Amino acid sequence: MASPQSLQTPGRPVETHFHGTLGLARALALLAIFTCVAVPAGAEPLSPVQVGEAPIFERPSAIGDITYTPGRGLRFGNTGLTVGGFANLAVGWPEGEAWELEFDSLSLLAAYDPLPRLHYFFELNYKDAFEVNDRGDAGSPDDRLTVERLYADVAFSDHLNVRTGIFLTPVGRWNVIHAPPLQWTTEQPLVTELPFDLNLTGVMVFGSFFPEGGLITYSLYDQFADPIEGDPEFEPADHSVGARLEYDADAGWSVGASYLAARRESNWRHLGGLDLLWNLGPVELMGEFAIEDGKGDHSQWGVYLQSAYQLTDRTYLVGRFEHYDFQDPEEPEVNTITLGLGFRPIPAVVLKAEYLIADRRSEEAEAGFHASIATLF
Amino acid sequence: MARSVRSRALLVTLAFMLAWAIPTSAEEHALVVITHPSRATSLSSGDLRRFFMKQRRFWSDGTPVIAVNQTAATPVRTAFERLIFGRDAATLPAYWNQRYFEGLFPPITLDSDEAVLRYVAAKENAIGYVDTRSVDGSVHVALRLGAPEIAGP
Repeated sequence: MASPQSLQTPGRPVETHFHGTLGLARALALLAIFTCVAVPAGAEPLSPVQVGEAPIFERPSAIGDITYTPGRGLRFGNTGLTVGGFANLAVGWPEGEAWELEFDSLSLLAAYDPLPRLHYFFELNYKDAFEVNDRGDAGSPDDRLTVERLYADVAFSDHLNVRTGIFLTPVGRWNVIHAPPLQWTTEQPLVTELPFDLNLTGVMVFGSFFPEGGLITYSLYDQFADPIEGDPEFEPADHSVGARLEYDADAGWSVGASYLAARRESNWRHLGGLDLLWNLGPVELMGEFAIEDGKGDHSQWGVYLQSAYQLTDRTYLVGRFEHYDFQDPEEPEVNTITLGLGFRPIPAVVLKAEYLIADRRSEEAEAGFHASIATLF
Repeated sequence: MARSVRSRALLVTLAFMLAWAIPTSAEEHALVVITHPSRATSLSSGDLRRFFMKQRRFWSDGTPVIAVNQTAATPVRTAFERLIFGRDAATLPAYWNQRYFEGLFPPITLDSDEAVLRYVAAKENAIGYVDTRSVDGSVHVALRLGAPEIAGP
């Protein structure tokens, strides 16, 4: 085999067939490796335990088998009671600041289904249980126990259900599935938390209809009571009413519209929102827009668009753009870009790492590195 | 000469790796969806999708639906999900994670065609699926799915 140098003459670039072939070989090898990694298929199917359908613990008892299924909770025999939850451990390293490790969420979930048409649900959340930073400060300065949900559902039919109690505000998509194990990023878009309360206490009527090729879901709600809330910083609206309509197509896309009117100190504020979800092969696209307007006040509005691309059967590349306009002279608008990776070793567990870029410093959107591990149990 | 052999070897290796990475179609299964003999109704694949995602929880007469899956990753279950959900089958674990956050759980699972047949034959509100070759006269066939197969009893 001739050495490349044998062809080299002064002043002449070393472009030989040998280099060309080697370059082509390397390119082909890289393409093959990338294709094998990027094509999300050919992997072994998940086992019943991994998908949360088979218990890892089973004990007979007078009330039936007591079983524990990872990611699906502890089932108490034939009583209809299941207890489970989720947890989240997060680390944040904002630009120019110290890093902080935080056990920021531990939730207990309890579902009780004594009859087919009756459903009780309870969520108790322990927030900010523990934190430590690189200065060695450790403790639980902001910890608090909150009842996030406590409600009873009565199902009259698929078209008509009534919910009474404390429930998540059905505005947009993120809020009603905001648990960390269900999301691709550690940090939440501002538009999914700032313009409305996380939950409300009242009554909701909801149901579904089934046209050919899709599903229509509606909800109408009225908040009329103060919550059982241990968070002293939470100031719920005095009264609010709202509605949501969603269409889910079997083809893999979904659109929704939300409306919420909330009264605080005799001032009514009105919020409108649109949202979408689109699954196209290995790509999931999700976005929300919301605008809140109030008499005598400036409106605030925000929009985000997030894409999650499945690199392998367990790894995802995530990107999100958000614009939020506080309509406040002291807090102008902010634009953020989040880029990250998500890894799900099993469906109930997710490891996330992302970098958030912001065009200005904001307490609400901290630029820097964020990572977390979240699990259902 | 040596270079062309190396090029061919690289191309063969690449083709092999691509063939391994690209999914091949699953073995075809002919399935039947079964209900209790007292529920002699015909159903569509859209109905099945709603029942097995628990989006639709009641029969048209108002009685609650009891959907019965087979064990995850078995050939019959895999075929059923491919036929009813298509590519969306891969999103089902995430879907049930979200439902768990609301205190809702996936359908019960049984581990064989025989177990599903016995269960559906005994429960008026149950709906399940089995391989066509397993069906017997104890249940009603509400829908046939998958590749044409030698007809069962």
